[in-house]
Order: sequence, then C-alpha cells, then structure tokens
Amino acid sequence: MSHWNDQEEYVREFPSDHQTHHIAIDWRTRTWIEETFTVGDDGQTNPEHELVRCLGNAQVASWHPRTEHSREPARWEVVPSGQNGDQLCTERMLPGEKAGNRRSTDGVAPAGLTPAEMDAFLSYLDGVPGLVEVFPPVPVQDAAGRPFLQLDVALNPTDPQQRGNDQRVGVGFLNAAFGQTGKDPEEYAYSIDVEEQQGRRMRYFVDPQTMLPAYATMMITTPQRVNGRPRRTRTCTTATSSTGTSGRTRSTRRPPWPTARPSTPTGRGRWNGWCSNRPSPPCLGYRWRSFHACCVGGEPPVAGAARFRWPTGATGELTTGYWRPGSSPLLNGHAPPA
Amino acid sequence: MPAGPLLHYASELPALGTGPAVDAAALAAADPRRFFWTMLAAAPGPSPTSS
Repeated sequence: MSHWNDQEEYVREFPSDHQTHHIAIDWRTRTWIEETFTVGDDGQTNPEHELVRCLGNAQVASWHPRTEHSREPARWEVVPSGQNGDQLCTERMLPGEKAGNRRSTDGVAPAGLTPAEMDAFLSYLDGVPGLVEVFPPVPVQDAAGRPFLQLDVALNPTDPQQRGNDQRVGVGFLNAAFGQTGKDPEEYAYSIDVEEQQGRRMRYFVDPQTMLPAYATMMITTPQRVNGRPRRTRTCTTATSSTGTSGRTRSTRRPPWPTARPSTPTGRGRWNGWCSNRPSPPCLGYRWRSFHACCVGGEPPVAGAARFRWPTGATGELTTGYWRPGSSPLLNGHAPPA
Repeated sequence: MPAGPLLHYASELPALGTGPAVDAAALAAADPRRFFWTMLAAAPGPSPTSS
C-alpha cells in the first residue's frame, strides 16, 4: 500500500508515494514478512531510499542503496528489532497485539480460515440488514486487454441496536462476523485497521479466472451517529491493489476511484465529483502494489489505514518466513539477507 | 445482531484452477451479492496445519 495525505496529493504525485508496504504471510506457520519503501515518479522503487524489511519479530533488515552522497557500497544491515523504540516489527502479528495486526488483511476479507469458518463469517455479514450492499458488476479491461469484473461494494454503518450506543457500527461488524469462527480477531491476524464505526466503500477489479481481486480501491467513511449525522467531518479514501494473477507488469496510469452512489450515503459524500468525472480505465497489472489515499478534506492520515490485499501466491512459497530467491513478489530484486 | 442462514459459499467453492472454470461473469451478473461472498470465500485459505 502507498500513502497519500489527500486526494490532491494523490492526483499530483501518483505513482510516487511516501511509503509503501508489502506484506506476505504464510498462514501455515504464521510467519510473515513486511517490506517498507518508497516509490518514485516512474512507479519503481525509489533507488535512493532505504528499504526496511521485517524479518519476523526479532530482526529488521535495512537495505542501504549506494547514493551519490554515500561512498559505501549498497548493503543490507540486519539489527535486532525494537531498537530506538521502533516497534515496526516487534509487535507484528503477536497474539493480543491489536496494533500489531495492522495490514495483515485488506481490512475486509479474512485469510487463513477453513471453509466452515469462512461460511460462518459470511453468513453473519449476510444476516445484518443493510450492512453490505453489492452493486451489479461491470465488465472492464485493463490496459493490456485482460478482462476483469469491476464490483462495487458498500459496507454501510448500521445501527447496532445496542443500548447506550448512539453510533452506527461499520467495519465493527466484520469483527463480530469474525467472532463467529470462534477466533478472536485480536488474537488472530485479522484487522479492520480503522474504527469500528467507520464504513467502507470498495471497488474491486476481479480476475474472472481466479475470482480474486487483482486491484481494489477503498474509501473509509466518516463515523455516524445512529441518526445518520457524522460524528465528525472526516472522510478517508484508500486504494489498494493486490496480487496480480499473471506476470508482474507496471503502469503509471492512475488507478480509478469509485464514483458516488446516490443510494449509498457516504457520510460526508466526499467522493462525489472528484472521481466521477474522471475516465476510469482500470489501472491493473500491478503485482503486490497497493495504494492508499486518506482523509479527503485535509485531515491527517488515519494511522494504519493503509492495507494490502490478498496474499495470493504467498502461501506455499514461504517456507521459513523468507522468500526464496527469485520467487519473491517483493520489489527491488534484492535477495533477503541470509 | 442475529446471524442469518448459514451460507455454504466457501465450502462449495470449486477449487480454483483445478476444476471446471467458474463462470465468474455469469455468477456476478446473476447474483452480485452471492458473487461477492464467493469472492471473499476465495481468499487465501489455510493449509491443513493452520489454526
């Protein structure tokens, strides 16, 4: 995922960003890897910026490129994590560490569940009136002519009908649904990443061969009171891509943004206009890239709101928590340190 | 909130890439909501050793 503070910055700077995260999880062993770097104007990893890669909870590796200001050769530097108060790696995906689960999912779909558990998760969501709204799909093609299905979905904050609760609940229902599996989302690598009262708007571009999203854009909506009034005037948007289903390709075309849906109140409705008048050829073909734009309206970014999608292809390839050379979907081509 | 009827989309989901192709477009057009559930159900699943 990549971060932009607001839509203007996104429009101005895409594909360049301030920070991108790549995460891969092996659900068999709960081992994971997270890589943090920046993307330059050409859509490639910024060659002059450090790359930070968590090696489990114990170590953090930094890739130091050789720059014109540095005479030292490019190198990996591996140090114990947690130094200097940096908790980037130390608390990741540990039981009970809520914040440590950030970005372990796309904020919607749980991974690593059995079919029966997934059925329980879906059944709960399906049973909450008005919570999930799915719109008719639209066939689209990417720049290479590959077919995808564009699927717009709204997760609408809904009155939880709880005494003393004057706010609608949005993604909090995802946690409740997850609880139907018998697992605790805070004890498991599942994270809604934002406040339970916030809703989401998702635009998926689904690969018809795998039925997995190849790319998605997301918006996080403003918390609302039960009467529909916003708790505060802030709306965030995210755009997230996921694992591609074929070869890794790149594009510098700006990914499309969701258009407003009159039938789906968006809190402040901040995504009206700024995307609807924009041509929306899907910007697909990304592999392990995702994008995040947050807080339309000038608010600071929501911490931890960025997310990646669907670690397809990760399971099975990760054997020790590190990617085998040559098979890593992570950027740069730098082999992980031994 | 009470849970609705139990869905079986995950357990009924064909093994992608190993069996007859799922006509995703037809499924999505016919029942977008079910298609969405099925899409979520297609999220990376566990190995037999996951918990």
